[in-house]
Amino acid sequence: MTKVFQIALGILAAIGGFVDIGDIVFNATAGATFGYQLIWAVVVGALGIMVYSEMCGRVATVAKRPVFDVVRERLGYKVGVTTLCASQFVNAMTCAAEVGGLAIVLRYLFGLPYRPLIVLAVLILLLSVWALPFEWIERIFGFGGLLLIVFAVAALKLDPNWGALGHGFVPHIDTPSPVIWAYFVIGLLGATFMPYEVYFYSSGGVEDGWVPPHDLKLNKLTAIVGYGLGAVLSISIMVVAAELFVPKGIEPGFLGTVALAAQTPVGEAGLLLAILGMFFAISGAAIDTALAGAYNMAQFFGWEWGKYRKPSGAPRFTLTWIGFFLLAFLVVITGVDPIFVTELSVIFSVVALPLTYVPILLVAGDSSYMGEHANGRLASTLGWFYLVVIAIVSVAAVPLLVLTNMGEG
Amino acid sequence: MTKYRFSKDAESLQSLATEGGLLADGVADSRTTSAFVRTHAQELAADTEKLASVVASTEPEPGLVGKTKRLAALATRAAAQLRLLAKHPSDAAMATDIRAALNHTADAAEQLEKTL
Repeated sequence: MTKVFQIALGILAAIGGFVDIGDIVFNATAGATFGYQLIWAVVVGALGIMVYSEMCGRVATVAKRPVFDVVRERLGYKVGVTTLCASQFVNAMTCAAEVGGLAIVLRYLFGLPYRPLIVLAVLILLLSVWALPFEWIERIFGFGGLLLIVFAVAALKLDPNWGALGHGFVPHIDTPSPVIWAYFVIGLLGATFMPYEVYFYSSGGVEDGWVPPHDLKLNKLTAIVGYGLGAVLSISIMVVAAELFVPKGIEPGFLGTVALAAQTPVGEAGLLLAILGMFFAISGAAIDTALAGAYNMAQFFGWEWGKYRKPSGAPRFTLTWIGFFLLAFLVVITGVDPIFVTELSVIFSVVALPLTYVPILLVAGDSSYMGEHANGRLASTLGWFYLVVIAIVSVAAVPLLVLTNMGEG
Repeated sequence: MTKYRFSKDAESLQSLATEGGLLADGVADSRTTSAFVRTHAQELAADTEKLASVVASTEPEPGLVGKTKRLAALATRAAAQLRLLAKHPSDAAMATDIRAALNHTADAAEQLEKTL
């Protein structure tokens, strides 16, 4: 049972990359547009983020150095500041989108007006992070997000075409719109590598007090199981959308459309589980981004940091995560569409992506830091392979976003 | 309004109306919650109203004038049905009628697109 609780960090970090507000709608749109064709992209992305999270968790455990500590040292101050600015912009925009998403989910639950619910959403997030110890944040929002497993149940009830589903694990193009196909592939891969996942994950390892050698196994297990579950949720949403929306010609544009996809085969219980799952997943992603923003600042500038400290013991860290939620509030109260904001944050994440992952790979492979725990041949090969994937995502994301009018064609 | 744009707008209307029909279906069969139906029907209605307004305000290519007017009228009607659903999110009898009307609108939008 203790092991089950210990992997909560991986689940919470994975939620940000697979089932946050933007991903929930994006996965459903991918399924509604291409059926099962893009499942492989989720699998490729999941393996990549497992590789890098394991690496940065290992660095945090052995060298006690979370990601931004490493970024500053390996890239120097100027490039480090560029990475910090791009990362913080992505964190802030994504946090804003999640706060807006949380207010939308609260609307689905209570039917109240949107703007007062933004206030309620921010209060829920502020109180949760202020009052709960880190491990309970991981458990409540990580395991709560797993309520989205209702989409796997819905997928099974819809009796999918197993042959076509299996074929979806093999990369192939079967569409008259290859550019839009490419946009969705890059979008799915880019989402799984959102930098705040590794900032949160590696800092979380320090928060959880991981020590070698025992916790290196836990780190591996946490990365594999956490991101594996994230991928299962992501694929389940895609399958439900493929089964339900493709024949009906529905283009999902709202969180509600995705919730409706759980209700149709499972009934009212399915709807409620889907909405509650979204509540925990989106709240978890909001907390991921706000804390990641505070971790980055504190690690870059050398402040005291950590949820394991009292707020008075890490005042600048505490003020930063509070500031992130307040900034998010100011952004979404303007009425901007949260899903549009997440799509926009992709543009800025392309700057942060390579600058975040290169230092992790370099330090994880450096035996002067890591000793006997430095990358072996397999981790090194996978790390370099995925660095190429990340570079392709970075180069292709913005042109495809423009060329396809954000996938609208 | 070009043929391409018309086709896209007709597809959007078909999608919105079909989704509205699915939402109404849940009300008719008591498989949903009032808060969800009210909120989501409002979202769909707002998008459908926006679509109706955009279609109505465009200058159609020759040959698309009648079809564009028909598409705008269908979108306006669908938006009204969705507003009605948002106003009566737990009325099963009314939802049955709304479901039929929205499914009819979706079919009509699909037919319009096929005539291009």
